[in-house]
Amino acid sequence: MKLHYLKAVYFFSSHAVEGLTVMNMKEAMFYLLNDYYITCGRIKRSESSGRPYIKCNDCGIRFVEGVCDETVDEWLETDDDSKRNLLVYHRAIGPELPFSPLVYLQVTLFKCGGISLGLSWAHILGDAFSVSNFINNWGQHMAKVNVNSSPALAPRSLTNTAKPEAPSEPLSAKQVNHVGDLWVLANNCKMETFSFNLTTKHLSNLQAKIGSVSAFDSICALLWRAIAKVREGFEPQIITVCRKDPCHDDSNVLGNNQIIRSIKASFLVGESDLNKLATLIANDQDQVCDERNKIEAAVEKDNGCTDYIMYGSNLTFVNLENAGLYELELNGEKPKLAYYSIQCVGDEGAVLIFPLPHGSAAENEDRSTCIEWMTKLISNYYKM
Amino acid sequence: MPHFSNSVKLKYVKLGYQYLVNHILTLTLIPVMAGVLIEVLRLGPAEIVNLWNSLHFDLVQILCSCFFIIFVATVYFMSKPRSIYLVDYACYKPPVTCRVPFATFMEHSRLNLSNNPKSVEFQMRILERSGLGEETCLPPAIHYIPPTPTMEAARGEAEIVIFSAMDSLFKKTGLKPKDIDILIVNCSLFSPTPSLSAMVINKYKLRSNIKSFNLSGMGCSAGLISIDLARDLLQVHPNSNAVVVSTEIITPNYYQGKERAMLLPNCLFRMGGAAILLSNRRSERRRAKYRLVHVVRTHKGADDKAYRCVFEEEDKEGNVGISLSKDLMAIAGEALKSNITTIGPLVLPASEQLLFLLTLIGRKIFNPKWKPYIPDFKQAFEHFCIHAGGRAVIDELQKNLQLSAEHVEASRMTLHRFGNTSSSSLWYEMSYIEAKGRMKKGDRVWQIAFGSGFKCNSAVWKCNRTIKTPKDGPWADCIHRYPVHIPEVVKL
Repeated sequence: MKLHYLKAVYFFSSHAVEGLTVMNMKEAMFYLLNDYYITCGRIKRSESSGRPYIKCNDCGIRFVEGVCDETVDEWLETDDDSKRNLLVYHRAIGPELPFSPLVYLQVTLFKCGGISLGLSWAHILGDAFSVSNFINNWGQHMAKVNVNSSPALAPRSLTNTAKPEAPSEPLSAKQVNHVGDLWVLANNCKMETFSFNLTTKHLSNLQAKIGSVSAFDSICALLWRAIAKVREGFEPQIITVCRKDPCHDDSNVLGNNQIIRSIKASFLVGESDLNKLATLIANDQDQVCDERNKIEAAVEKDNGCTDYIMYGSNLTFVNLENAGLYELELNGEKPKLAYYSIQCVGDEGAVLIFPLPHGSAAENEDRSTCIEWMTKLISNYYKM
Repeated sequence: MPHFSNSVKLKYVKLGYQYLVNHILTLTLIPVMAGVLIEVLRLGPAEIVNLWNSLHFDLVQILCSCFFIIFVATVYFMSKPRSIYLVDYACYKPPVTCRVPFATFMEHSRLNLSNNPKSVEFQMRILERSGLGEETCLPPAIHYIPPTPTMEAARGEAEIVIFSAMDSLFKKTGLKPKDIDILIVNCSLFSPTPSLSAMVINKYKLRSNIKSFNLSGMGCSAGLISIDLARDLLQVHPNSNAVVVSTEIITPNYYQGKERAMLLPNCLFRMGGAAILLSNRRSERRRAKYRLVHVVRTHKGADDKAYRCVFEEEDKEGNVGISLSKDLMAIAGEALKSNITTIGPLVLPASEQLLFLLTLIGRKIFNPKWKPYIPDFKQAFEHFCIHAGGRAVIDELQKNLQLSAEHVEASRMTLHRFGNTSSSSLWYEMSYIEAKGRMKKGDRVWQIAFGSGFKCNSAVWKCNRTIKTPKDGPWADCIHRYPVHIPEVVKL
């Protein structure tokens, strides 16, 4: 997971941040980081094996203050990927490992008084669900800071316990060349980010076509087939699906605990029936296709010296529907908009599926879903 | 075995000698009184009555003698200097959000000095050996990359530090702002207009006939200079309260260049401040914590080397910083010797002074090769507060004065927890001793401070009442962790 980074952005209206200063936010962060001290550490290489580890030396997370001369609403109207990068201060880890923060938090003040919070998070610390927990806990500290009571529970970072009997190469993770001390992934093709919103109407139409599967599974099936159609001849036979582990529904977990499954289609995807695809994706939920142990075993085989990627080794779908994106509250108000993205994805691309806030305008429906996906730009084949 | 018994015998000889010389007056007086008593008993009461009657007293003689006695007594009491009491003091405790752990300091250093890896290496080595801990604090403006030392930020820091310390002092002593007669603020490197003392007067709405002073540029020993000034003023003004505020404002003085001699203060100086209430009112006699006994000031500025050893100047690129010369320790040692020579006769017991005198005479007359006798100051003081200027300063003084680890514990732990807070570090050290419950009535405390110029100032306090461990104060939440062992080199 070391080559992947998560980026999260939250927008708040001026009403939500009334009376809150940057110092209030930093103070709340101090108390939060007492519990999440791992995020304050820095990478060091072990003297004996050269294997990197996190030294919890209290170095801190990097805090960035920004100012924007648009209002929040103006910004959201013309929102696109390149603009979003301005709201999240992101630097890859390295080349000086001991001086590279693992987490960056940017607070941008807009003309109307609203703010955006941009979090850049190294995936080695935890998955998107951990990030959401982290931010939500900070929100709770913000509320408590005014009340002055004790901090929230300390998070536990969990590791998989069961080891597989016959370790085989995982399908969802791929080896890449050594990256040395600069933890950035080199792609073979140009990567771009697209996002579009699906309204409830779209979703209900889709589900009517496909049948009794969840919204996520139907969206995955739709996109898989669409991409397979675009990339005729090179269609993705295997996809990776990441979702929250229902066993670890605790709200204080820090770590890479999401279930990672790889799903192999034995038929041509581009021509297949959506229902068939969706059922394939849904049914695998019961089987033991969870690749977490396999990935861990593969990495441990040579003591962590090889570099792997997960997102983008196959076409990856991440289900953030129950990630609790809108549980963060400032002054009792939820964010206007929250979205997540992944920095450094492999060539096959990744799709994140997460909800939009209740009440956002979209064809007079009251619940919709936003899909953000990065996909390969094949110069000959691209047409979208 | 013979060594041990020899040393034990020597110890008892030394103890006996000290007891004899220190109490010589008592020891001579007792035989005299015994003699008189025996004589009186021998004479018998009748004889004494006859003796009394033979002395012809007439009225004029009696009146004159009474008048004479009263006159002498009055002159004596009038010319005695007023007792100066330290009612209480309060130290500023910086918030946790200003904390600078080693790793953070190094990371900021690396980013600010990105073109000079050698300077970063140097800073890392200094930090490893500095004796500072991970909880020392820098003001918010310095936490930015690069630091933003605006005047507004500097004033902000001054307000936070000074007003917090003063609020704390008001709460502890019940002092009303209108009762302050004298206000002295010392801050060496930040001197805005209007002065910091005017800032305090404005904030607390002090009286218009207050006597206020603002001392700047006088270095880390300015705290004791302010105490000295307060003492002189309290001699002249009867029934007065004086508030002394000692602080150092870091924001405008963070060196932004790469000269090694000037990077040292960045590694050591940290946020801190103290407010002290002094009084000469008799009503404060009961509740005052300490009484000021002596203040001794020594200035070596006449010597060029001493004058230039701590020098604020611009480096080649125009960045202003304080340059510390390599012979700082040697000069500090010289200044200390000078100071001791003055303070020794005032505080040392007669036994030590006699020994010193004899050794001096011996060296001059008999044999110059005799080792100079270093008086044992542990006999004169129970507690030592050595300015936490840096590990080297404390080590040097511990060696020169032959102090044990426990004596310098307050200084070392203050350096560890708060860093070098300049003129206020002495007050953090006093606070440490009190927090440890070691301050008993009658204990004598010696505060020593060094400063640019080069100055060495000492103050001697006598504890007025046994001080219970305070519930608030800068050490309240962490005293149970101290003393900590500070390794020679901390591996970063």
